[in-house]
Amino acid sequence: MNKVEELQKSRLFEGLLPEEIEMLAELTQHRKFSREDVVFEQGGVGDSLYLLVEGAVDVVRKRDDGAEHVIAALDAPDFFGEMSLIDKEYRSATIRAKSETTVLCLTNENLHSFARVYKNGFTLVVINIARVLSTRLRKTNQKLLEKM
Amino acid sequence: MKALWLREVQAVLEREDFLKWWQSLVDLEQKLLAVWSRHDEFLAQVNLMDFRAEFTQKNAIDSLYLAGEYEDTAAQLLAEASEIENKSYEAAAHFESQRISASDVFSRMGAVENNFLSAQTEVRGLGDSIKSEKDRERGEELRNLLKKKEAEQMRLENEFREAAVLYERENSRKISLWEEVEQMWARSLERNLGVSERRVKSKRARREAERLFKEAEQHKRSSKTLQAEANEADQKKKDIQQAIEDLRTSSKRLFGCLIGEEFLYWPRRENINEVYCVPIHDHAEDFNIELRAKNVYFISRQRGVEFIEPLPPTGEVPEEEDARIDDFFQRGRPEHTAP
Repeated sequence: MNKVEELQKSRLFEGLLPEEIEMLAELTQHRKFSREDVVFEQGGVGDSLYLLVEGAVDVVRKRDDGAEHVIAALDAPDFFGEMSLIDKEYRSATIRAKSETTVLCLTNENLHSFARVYKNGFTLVVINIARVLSTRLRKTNQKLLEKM
Repeated sequence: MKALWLREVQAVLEREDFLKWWQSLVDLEQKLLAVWSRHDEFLAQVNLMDFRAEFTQKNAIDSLYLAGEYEDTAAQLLAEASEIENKSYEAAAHFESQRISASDVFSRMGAVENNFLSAQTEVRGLGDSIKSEKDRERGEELRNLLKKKEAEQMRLENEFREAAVLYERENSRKISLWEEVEQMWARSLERNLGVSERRVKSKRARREAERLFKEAEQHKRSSKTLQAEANEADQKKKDIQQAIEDLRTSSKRLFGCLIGEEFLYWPRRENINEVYCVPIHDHAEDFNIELRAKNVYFISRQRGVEFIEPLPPTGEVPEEEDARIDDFFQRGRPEHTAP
């Protein structure tokens, strides 16, 4: 499968024009990870978002006492790492490969290249990220309500 | 070198002379890679052969030392054997003297024993005579004589016992001296046998040393041959590198570009702050994006290839009407999220 097809599967790039997807394909890079490899560490500086192409990862959060807690498991075509792109904060969790995993990596800088060429395309990507974040927030609110 | 429009760069890349030039460059680089690897392999073999030669020579020298050590040990054993043998003659002489002394004591002991037995017979005879004697006076005379004879018999018995003890002592000493002589002969023999064994070992070690010296020489010759081949490969490598350099230099003249180690560059006519760059090879991971050889990308003059941007697929920034964002704002709420 080529990068264009891989990108088209993701909610992140819904509504984008073929030429926009094509440029994003140029701007993304494949990265491969073996089981237990860390894609990025909690607390690290985030400058990329990752789209799962193959395999699965655990989202691991380290508590204050140092104990690790798996808060979610993601598989293709989920994406992760988008929060640091939006709020420029440090990584909120560690991502660890559960199996042989391939991701497409889009750096902040490369996304900026895309934004300069395709302003509307970039806006749609941001809207898509916001949608996902909004969905997550709603779910979290729901869970909180259920616990109250 | 002048700045080009994108279409002009693309036209250059499609020209037959460019395709020929690029193919020659790729072919030369592949040749260079092969020769480089060959050169490295030869150098590794030269090093290995030099090491083997050195190692074998060291083993040969060690073997030679060992042969010397065996010879020294043989000489030492021979000297010890001679010394022990000489001492054994002395011990044999002592034994001989002791043997004579013991024989002498034995003879004397025999004589004393004979005297003692005679005295015993006489005492027994006198006892019998006293019993059969009727004459009182003669009987008294015989009893006096018997007393004298009994005293003599006792003395002779004591003398015999002393002689027997002396003989026992002298004979033991004789036996002990003989054992000593035999032990010396055994030690001497052991050393003599050790001498021959060490001499054989020494010869074997010398032969091994000679063989190893020859082997080391053979390794040295092989190393020289390999070094010659490595030099030849190195020369070829330099020739190819020069040919690549010539080819790269010619690109400036032929295509009006700048050439780096891995890219061709043309200043961008559309934007004076930007440069078109064309990678000579594919790169999957070394840059911020995946690069394909002969594709056109652009970079800023300041950052160079540290940040490479792809051309928009159309080659131009699209300026068409785009209603997608308006649609997002104008679209109603999804059914399932309605309160």
